[in-house]
Amino acid sequence: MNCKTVRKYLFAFADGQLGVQANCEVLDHLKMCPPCSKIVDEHQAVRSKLRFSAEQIQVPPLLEGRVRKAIQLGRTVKEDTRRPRAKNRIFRIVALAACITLIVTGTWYFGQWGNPIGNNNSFSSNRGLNIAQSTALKVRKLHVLCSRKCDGAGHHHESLPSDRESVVKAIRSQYNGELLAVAPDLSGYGFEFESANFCSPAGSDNDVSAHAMYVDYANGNRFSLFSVPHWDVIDQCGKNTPDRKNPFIHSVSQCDDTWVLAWHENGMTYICCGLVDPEKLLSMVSDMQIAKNDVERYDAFADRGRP
Amino acid sequence: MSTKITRRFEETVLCHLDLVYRMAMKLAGDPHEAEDLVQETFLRAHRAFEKFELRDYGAKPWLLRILHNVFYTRCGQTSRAPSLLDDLSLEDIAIELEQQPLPSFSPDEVDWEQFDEELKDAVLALSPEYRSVLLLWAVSGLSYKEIAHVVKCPLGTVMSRLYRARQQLGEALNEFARERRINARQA
Repeated sequence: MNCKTVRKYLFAFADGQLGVQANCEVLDHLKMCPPCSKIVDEHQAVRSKLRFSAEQIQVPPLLEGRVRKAIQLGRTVKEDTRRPRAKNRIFRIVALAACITLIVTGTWYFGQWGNPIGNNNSFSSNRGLNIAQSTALKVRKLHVLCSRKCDGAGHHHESLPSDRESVVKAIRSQYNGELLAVAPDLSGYGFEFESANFCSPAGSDNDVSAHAMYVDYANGNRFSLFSVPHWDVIDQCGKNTPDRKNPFIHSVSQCDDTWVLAWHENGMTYICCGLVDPEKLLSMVSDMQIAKNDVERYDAFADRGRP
Repeated sequence: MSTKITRRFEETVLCHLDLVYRMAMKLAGDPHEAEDLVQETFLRAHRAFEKFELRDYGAKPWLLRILHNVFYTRCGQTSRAPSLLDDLSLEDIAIELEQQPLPSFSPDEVDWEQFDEELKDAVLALSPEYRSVLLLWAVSGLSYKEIAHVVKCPLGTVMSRLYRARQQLGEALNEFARERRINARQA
C-alpha cells in the first residue's frame, strides 16, 4: 500500500473501524512511513484530549434527582433555591405570635422593670437563651458549610462507603462502637441520604463526630444529622419540649428558617438541622427511633467483639 | 408505567446520565442549557421507553440520538440537512490530505494542558453537525456505524463530517500553537 491508498483508511484505522486484513495492511505501511504515523498519532491525541476534557466536567450532584422529578412530573424542573414555605399558614401565624410573646415577656422579666425572681436566676436564664442561640447558630453554620461542599467538591469522606447502611457500619467499626453514628432512612419524608463525614458542630473538644447529610432532590433542601459524643452545652440550652409525644427532645432552636433539634441518648448527643417545617421535623425525629435502635445496634456490635 | 419498566429504565437508561450531561455540556457549552437538554432528553426517553427495544446498538446510542434531536431542535436546525461539504467521498478526503501540509506540531511536543480553553472554544466554534459527530466519536466512544445511527446519516457522511471537524479543530489549535510560539519569542 502506498500513502495515497493508506490515507483513505487512516482515520478508520486509528479508530479501530477496519477489518483484520485492512488493519494489517495499514499497520505494515505505518511501520515504514513516519508522516502517516504522525497523522495517526495526532488523530489519537486529539481524541484522548477531547475525552479527557469531557471527563473533567463535574456532573451536578442534584441532577439525577431533578431528572427523576422531571420524569415524575412529566416536565422539566428548574433548580429551586427558594426557602420552603410552611405548609400551614396558621402555624406560621401562631409561631410568629409566640415569638412576639416571648420577646415581650423576656423584656418585661429581665428589662427595665426589674426581675421578680432574682439576679442569679435572671443571669442563668438569660445566659441559657444566649447559649441556645449561639449553639444553634454554630450548628447551622456547619450545616450550611457542608451543604456548600455537597454542591461543590463534595462532602462525603473518601474513606467511607457511599450507601447509607454501610456508612453507619464503617463509622462504628472505625471507632470501635464508641461513636454511635446513625443515618436513618428518611426517604418517607423526601430526604435521601447523600453523604457522610466526620464533622463536629461541637468543635475541637469533640472531634470524633459523624455527620450524615440528606437531600430533598425536589427542591435541593438539605438536612443534617450529627452524632456527637455527649455535648454538655446542650444541657445549658434550656429544656424545651414542644411536643409531649417527643419527650426526648432536649433543645429546639431556630435560626431564620433553619430548625435545630438536639437530644442526648446513650452517651451521645444527636443534633438535627435543616430548612424543615418544625412539625415535619418533630415527626421525622420521632420516627427515627434512634434511642431504641442505638441500644440494639450497640449491643449487636458489642457482641461481635466478645470472645 | 409499571414498577418493572421504571426499574428497567433506570438500569438501562438512567445509568448513562453522566455521559449525556457531559455530551450536553460539550454541545451547549453552558451548564443551565446542558441541564435543560439532559432533562428533556430523559423525559422523551421515558415517554418512548415502552416502545424501545434493545436491539442493534443498545440504550446509549438511542439516548444520544434523542439528545442529538433535542439539541438540534433547540438550535432551530434540522439534523437531516447536511452541508455540501458532507458529500465528500473517501477519495476526496485522501486527495485533500495529500494536498495539505502536515500539522505544524507533533502531539508529543504539545503541552495539552495549555490547550484546555482553546480546545473548548475550538469545539464550540464548530458547526453543530460537526461538533455533534466529533463529540460522539471522541467523548461517547461510539463506532462510525453507531454515530451514523445517532445522527441519521450514511456512514460516509459521518466520516467526512468527522474529517472536516478534525480539520477545523486542527487549524484552530495550530493557530493557537503558532501564537504561543510568537508570544514566547517576544517574551
